Amino acid sequence: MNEVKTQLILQAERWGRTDYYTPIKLEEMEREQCQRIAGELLSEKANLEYELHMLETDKHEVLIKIERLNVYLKKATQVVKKHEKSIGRIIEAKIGDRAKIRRATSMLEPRSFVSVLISEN
Amino acid sequence: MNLGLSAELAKEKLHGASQLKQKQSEKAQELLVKQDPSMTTGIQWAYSQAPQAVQAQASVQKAEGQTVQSKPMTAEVATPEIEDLAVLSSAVSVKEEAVLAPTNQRSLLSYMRLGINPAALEESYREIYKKSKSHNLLLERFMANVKLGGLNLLMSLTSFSAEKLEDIKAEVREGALKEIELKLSQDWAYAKALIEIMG
Repeated sequence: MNEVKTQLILQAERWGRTDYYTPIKLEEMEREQCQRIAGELLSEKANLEYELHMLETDKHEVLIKIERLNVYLKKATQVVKKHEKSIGRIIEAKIGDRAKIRRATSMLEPRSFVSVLISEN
Repeated sequence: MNLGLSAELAKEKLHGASQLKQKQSEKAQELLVKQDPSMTTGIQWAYSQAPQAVQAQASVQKAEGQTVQSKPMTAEVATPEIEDLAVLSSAVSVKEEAVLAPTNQRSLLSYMRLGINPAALEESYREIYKKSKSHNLLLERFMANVKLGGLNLLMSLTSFSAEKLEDIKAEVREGALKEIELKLSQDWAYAKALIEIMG
């Protein structure tokens, strides 16, 4: 899989698209595909539940299938979270500590003051 | 010791054979001279002199017993064996308008255009240009330096302008980048996610 990825990225660079497929971009791609798979699993689960409740089929077999799908769905959500974490880690590695940066930017920004002029009248 | 050898019989035989050959050549010459091909085929024939003069010269030479040989166009040795060849080689078509004009009018480009299909050429150019950006180093070098170079030359000789080539290159680039994006997202990322989830 990694070989395919490196070949495709190299090909894109040969076409002049350098620094486009960054690690964040690739992680986002993987996360999107995980979400897509999770969506497909959910639709399959809905179909099986319909089959279980509405149609007269082998209930035991359908229940086993639904159990398996639940396991896969759990795994899919875990994988999505893992990718989100890795995206966050990459961003933090680039920009540093977020809290410190927030503090620094807040100090640089001009503070807004509300001035009330009270006249003697 | 006298063996009774005499050269008379051989001389007679040789004389008879030479006369026979001479008669045959004269007949052939008469046939050639009498037949004025310009009257039938419309092709002008090459003579160093006018046909009538050649005919007259042939008759004079026949009277003198010389071999008939016309020598305007080719230089050949008039041995008895190739007498006929020498006669035939003097009759060369020189109707320049009919023979040479087509080669003068058609240039190299027109010949090339006859044999080259522009659509096929464009298609092969697209393909080779795409391969010239391959991730495979050897393939990329070969396609970029050898094939694409040659094809560029060929296309510049034919009707393809530089602008059109640039347009083709831009189209190929866009298509290739889309394909890479699709492969990365649909094939690579999807397969990796599926492996991660399903195990």
